[in-house]
Amino acid sequence: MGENLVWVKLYSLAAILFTLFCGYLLGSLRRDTQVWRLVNDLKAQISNKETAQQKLLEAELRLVRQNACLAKLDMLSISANLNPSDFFKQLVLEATLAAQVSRASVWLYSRENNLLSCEIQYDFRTLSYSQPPPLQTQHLPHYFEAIQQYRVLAVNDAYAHPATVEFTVDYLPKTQVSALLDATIWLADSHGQGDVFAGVVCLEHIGGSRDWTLDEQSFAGSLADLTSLMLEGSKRQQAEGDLRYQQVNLDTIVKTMTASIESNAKLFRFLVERAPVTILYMNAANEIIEMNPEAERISGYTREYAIGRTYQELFETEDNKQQLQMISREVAYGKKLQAREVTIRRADGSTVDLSVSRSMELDDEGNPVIISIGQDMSKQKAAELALRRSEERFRHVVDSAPAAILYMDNSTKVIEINPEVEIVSGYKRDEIIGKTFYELFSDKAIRAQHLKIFKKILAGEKLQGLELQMRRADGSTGEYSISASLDQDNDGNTMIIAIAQDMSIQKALEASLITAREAAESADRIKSMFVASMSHELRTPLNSIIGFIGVVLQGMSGELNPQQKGQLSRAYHSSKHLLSLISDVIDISKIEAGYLQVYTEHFELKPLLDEVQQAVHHIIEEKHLALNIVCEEGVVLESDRKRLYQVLLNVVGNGLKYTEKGDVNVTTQVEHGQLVIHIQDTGIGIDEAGLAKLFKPFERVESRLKIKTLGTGLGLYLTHSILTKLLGGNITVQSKPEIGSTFIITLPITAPEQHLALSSIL
Amino acid sequence: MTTALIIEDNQNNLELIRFILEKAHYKTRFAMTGIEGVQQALSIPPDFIILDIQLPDINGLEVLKRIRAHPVGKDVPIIAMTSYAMSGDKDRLMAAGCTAYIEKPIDPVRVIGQIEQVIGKKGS
Repeated sequence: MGENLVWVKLYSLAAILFTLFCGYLLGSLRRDTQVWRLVNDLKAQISNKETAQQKLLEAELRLVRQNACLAKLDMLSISANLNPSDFFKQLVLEATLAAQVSRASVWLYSRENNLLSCEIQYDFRTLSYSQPPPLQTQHLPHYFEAIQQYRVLAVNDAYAHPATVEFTVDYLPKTQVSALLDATIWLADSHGQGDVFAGVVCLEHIGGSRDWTLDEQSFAGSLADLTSLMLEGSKRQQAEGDLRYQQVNLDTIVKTMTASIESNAKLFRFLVERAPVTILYMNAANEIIEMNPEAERISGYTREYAIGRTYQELFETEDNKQQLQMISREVAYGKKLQAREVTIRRADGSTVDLSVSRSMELDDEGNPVIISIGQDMSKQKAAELALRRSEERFRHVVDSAPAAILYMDNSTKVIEINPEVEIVSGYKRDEIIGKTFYELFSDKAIRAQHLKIFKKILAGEKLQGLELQMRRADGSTGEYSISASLDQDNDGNTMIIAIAQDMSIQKALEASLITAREAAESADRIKSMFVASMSHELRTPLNSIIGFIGVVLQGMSGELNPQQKGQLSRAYHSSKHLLSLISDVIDISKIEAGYLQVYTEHFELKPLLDEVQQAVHHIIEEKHLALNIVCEEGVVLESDRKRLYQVLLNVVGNGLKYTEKGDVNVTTQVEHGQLVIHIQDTGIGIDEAGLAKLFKPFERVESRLKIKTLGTGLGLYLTHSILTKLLGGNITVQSKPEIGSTFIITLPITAPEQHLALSSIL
Repeated sequence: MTTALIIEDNQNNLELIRFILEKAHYKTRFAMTGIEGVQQALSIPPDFIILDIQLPDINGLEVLKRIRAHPVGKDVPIIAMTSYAMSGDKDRLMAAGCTAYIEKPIDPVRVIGQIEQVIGKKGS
């Protein structure tokens, strides 16, 4: 009687506990239970976070590459005596590397013949330079309009974008280019009328569409800006040259003429006829006696018209009246005028600026004649204007550059700075100019380092992104990245250009990135550990449920009738199933939390396979199948025996589960230090859709046996995780529906690396 | 009668193993913390000990070490039980002097056989 009471008590206790747990967690075997959802949610969150981290890292790397590239080109563009073609060569090479594009090229536009001509193209796939034929812009109206409209034209899919429609016929198929990022080069108009289109820097991607990120677009824009800057720089050098050339030219002519008058009348005539200056002979009353063709051209008066008329009559205006009188008077007093700037009236009423040299001489008969030589200044003025504009632009760039730029002489005395130097150093401009670098930025501790660096610079070494410490005005020191090279001033003295960037912001950014990443990683770990320990807590009551049901089922608490036995037996199997689910969840969470539980030992393969056979013995008996295991004696592995057992039991068990007739064959072989195990069944097989999701969690392949077969839906996912993440191996599958499947497990014979074994006890 | 000391913190699991052992005519005593388990094992030595590994105060491995460190406890058979073992746990337990190791959930029929194999005698 007493025993009966205990039995009733235990039975109901077990039933209540079981119902609570099963009802809550298992929801019979439906896939959309709370456990599924919980774990799926967690997995999705973890993988989202991983993707985000990945993206963050990629962006970070991209920016580093882009900045390095721009810094390099920047340094190159300000170096003296730069040949534009060398610059382009470097630009396209660096751009392919930094932007990771297949090809990069620079195209310059010629207004006269409407051509876009390629200066240079670099192909990253062949690692070679080339120069494709020029493009006629009238054949590319859409493209041409688009690049003039935008600073950067980002074409993700060249076949779909309206701007590149003209390329789809020939250019794209021929070159295989599929996406492109074009940035426009603008140059200051020489007439001072704003910027004009000068060309394009082109980055091309081969192989499918490409979403150009914002930073890539701005990178392309920077490349084009640098190109503009470089072109302006080289134009400026040319303008400076022109100016000097013209001055020299004038001097030479005057000298030669003086000499010729005395020695060679023929040469004199020739020079007068051909000289690119206006030459007038006048009598003392300023009446024109003779003029040369250049004077006719510049003034617009014919020689015939001009002769006999006075200089004033021909060239005077309201504005220059006084000046002309003054000049006449000075010359009359015997003064030689040199390069006096005069604005004269031309035949058509317009004016022209001349640089006039004039003196009074005596002719053969001893009469006074006035020789007036004038040079057209309009070209020179335009060149000066262009130079000034270009200098202004250059100045603007230097002033607004987010880097401290110092121009120093060879004793490191600072000649010029940009405003950023004041911001970065804390000194005022007046305090900086005229002081040496050492006085400003060194202290005892870092002086030696600075001396060494400047010694290198002065020896001609170019520094790029060298990290060094600099003292600020307030006495604190900071980390800077410095690039420096030598330059020559107008008098040929050696000068130093140094560009310093404050690293503290970058360092702080890096540090915050690292912290963010670590936080994300530890959050993932905590979550996985939470799942693992929660699962552990679930096991304890479940063990007692299974234990008590077992006790009652065995009749240890009194005889059961067949119906009770049948029902209790269902409860027993369901509990066991729940337990195996929880075990799988624990394993997966711990693998993903990075708590690698690899316990390496030396063991023989054959006995392990025998154990597997033993474990599935009852299925073989029940279904009248055959399990053939072929394994040589003496194959010794260094691996985690328990994990490998788990893997083999799962795969062999699956094979038997999905096979109704025939056999399951397990063969093993060792090749190249790898153990290869084939597990072949004659089961129902898996179709393509099934194969794709076979190793994913909670994906049980659709099959007609599905209802009959119990499974966690985690088995193959766990197997795959164990093999790939813990044991350094792999699992693949070949399968044909209705014929059977072969699972191929590969595993290194010796453990790849000794992982720290973590214990559940300690 | 052969006496078993069950060191187990979970009331239900304790009741389960107690029921099974008493059914097989063993006498049982129990402790629900590690420290209490060590005290009982050394003050009134049992014939064998069933030891749960997850305990609230000191863990099972520590209990095992303390019992074995004492002359009274150095030979008593100790059977460890744990609901979930990782690779290497078994080795660690055996190295610390554990006599046998049974994984939970226990099989009520086989468990008595396993115990008898270890202690070499029947309950009564």
